[in-house]
Amino acid sequence: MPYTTERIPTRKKWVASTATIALLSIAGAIGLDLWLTGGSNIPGVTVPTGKPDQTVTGDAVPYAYGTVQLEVVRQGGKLAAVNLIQSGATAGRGQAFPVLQKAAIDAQGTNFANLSGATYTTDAFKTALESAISKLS
Amino acid sequence: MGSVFRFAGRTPLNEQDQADALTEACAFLHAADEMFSLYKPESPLSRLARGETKVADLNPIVDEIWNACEAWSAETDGWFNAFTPDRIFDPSGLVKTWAASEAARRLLAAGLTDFAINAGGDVWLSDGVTGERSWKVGISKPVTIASPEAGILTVFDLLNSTMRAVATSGTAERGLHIWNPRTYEFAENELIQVTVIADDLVKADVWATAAFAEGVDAVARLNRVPNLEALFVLRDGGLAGTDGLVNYFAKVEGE
Repeated sequence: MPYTTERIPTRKKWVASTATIALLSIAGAIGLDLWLTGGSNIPGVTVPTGKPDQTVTGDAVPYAYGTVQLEVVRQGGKLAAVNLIQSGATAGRGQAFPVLQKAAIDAQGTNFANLSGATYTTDAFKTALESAISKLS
Repeated sequence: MGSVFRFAGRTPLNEQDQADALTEACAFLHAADEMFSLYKPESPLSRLARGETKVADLNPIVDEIWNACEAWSAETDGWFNAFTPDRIFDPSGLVKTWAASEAARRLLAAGLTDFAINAGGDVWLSDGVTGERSWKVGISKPVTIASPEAGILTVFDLLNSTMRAVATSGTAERGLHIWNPRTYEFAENELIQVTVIADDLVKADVWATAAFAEGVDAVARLNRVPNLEALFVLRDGGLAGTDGLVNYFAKVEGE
């Protein structure tokens, strides 16, 4: 499911991320926020700047615990957003608590803007971002 | 591997002020990581774990976190516990969301009012979030996202409620990493995932950890906590939840 935000005409959309380099820990040294707000300078990756607005999706990058796939948006010649693409939903299982099961399954088809539960790792996230950016023409 | 922090929202600030606000928030996260990481041998917490220093000699933030962990341990009747089976002080069950909350506070102070933070799968929304979809939080199925069964378990909608945070604990992504603080063994019970919705991010995170350690009996305990609901996923695929949980399942558009 796309991990996007609606456009509000009077306000600019912004997205930033930072990533950790330590298990069960916090923050780290990559600083995606600066890549985004600064416009470029990802180690080993060049954002083609001064080009038309474009939205592209990177490859699904596998890692030890799953896959990460990102969409990047270039606006005004700069990287404007990084959106996380999630795999689609399938029906749940189990009958133990039918009311909850039904409510949970009924809600599955809803669009949402944030995802709780999965933990994305630094390397996979970075590789996925590089993949998406490399597809900008 | 490590957690990814993601900030997303809408800004009234100009580009420079926006960049400055994010830079400060991220600098705070990096500093907290330097302080609390047990995976960095020279971090203050690692030195504390080896007995090379003591809390009184460290940055007062360590003492603050220590006290917070003790308070949450009391609050959860011992089910949240920042000491590992080796009796090492490991506040990582709280520090991630504490740091995210502090980063949020800095962004709010800078004038941002409409944003969300996703701290490695734990989600916090500011009061001023706009857009109906921005209030909806998907919950991953309790399987690793490498699994062909991976997907969305359900979606919660926090719009028009006091709830601002969603935290999930489970074994899907990191294996057994939550221990039973009463037996000091890894928690292996009937649960595979607990998601907590609450009005505060640290509160949601701590209770998700505590409930996961306790097992499905925690439903009764969580029913007594104000401004908090929880969804339990059992090993057999069954679900259990607190009394008010049904109010938070998202409605499908058009209904």
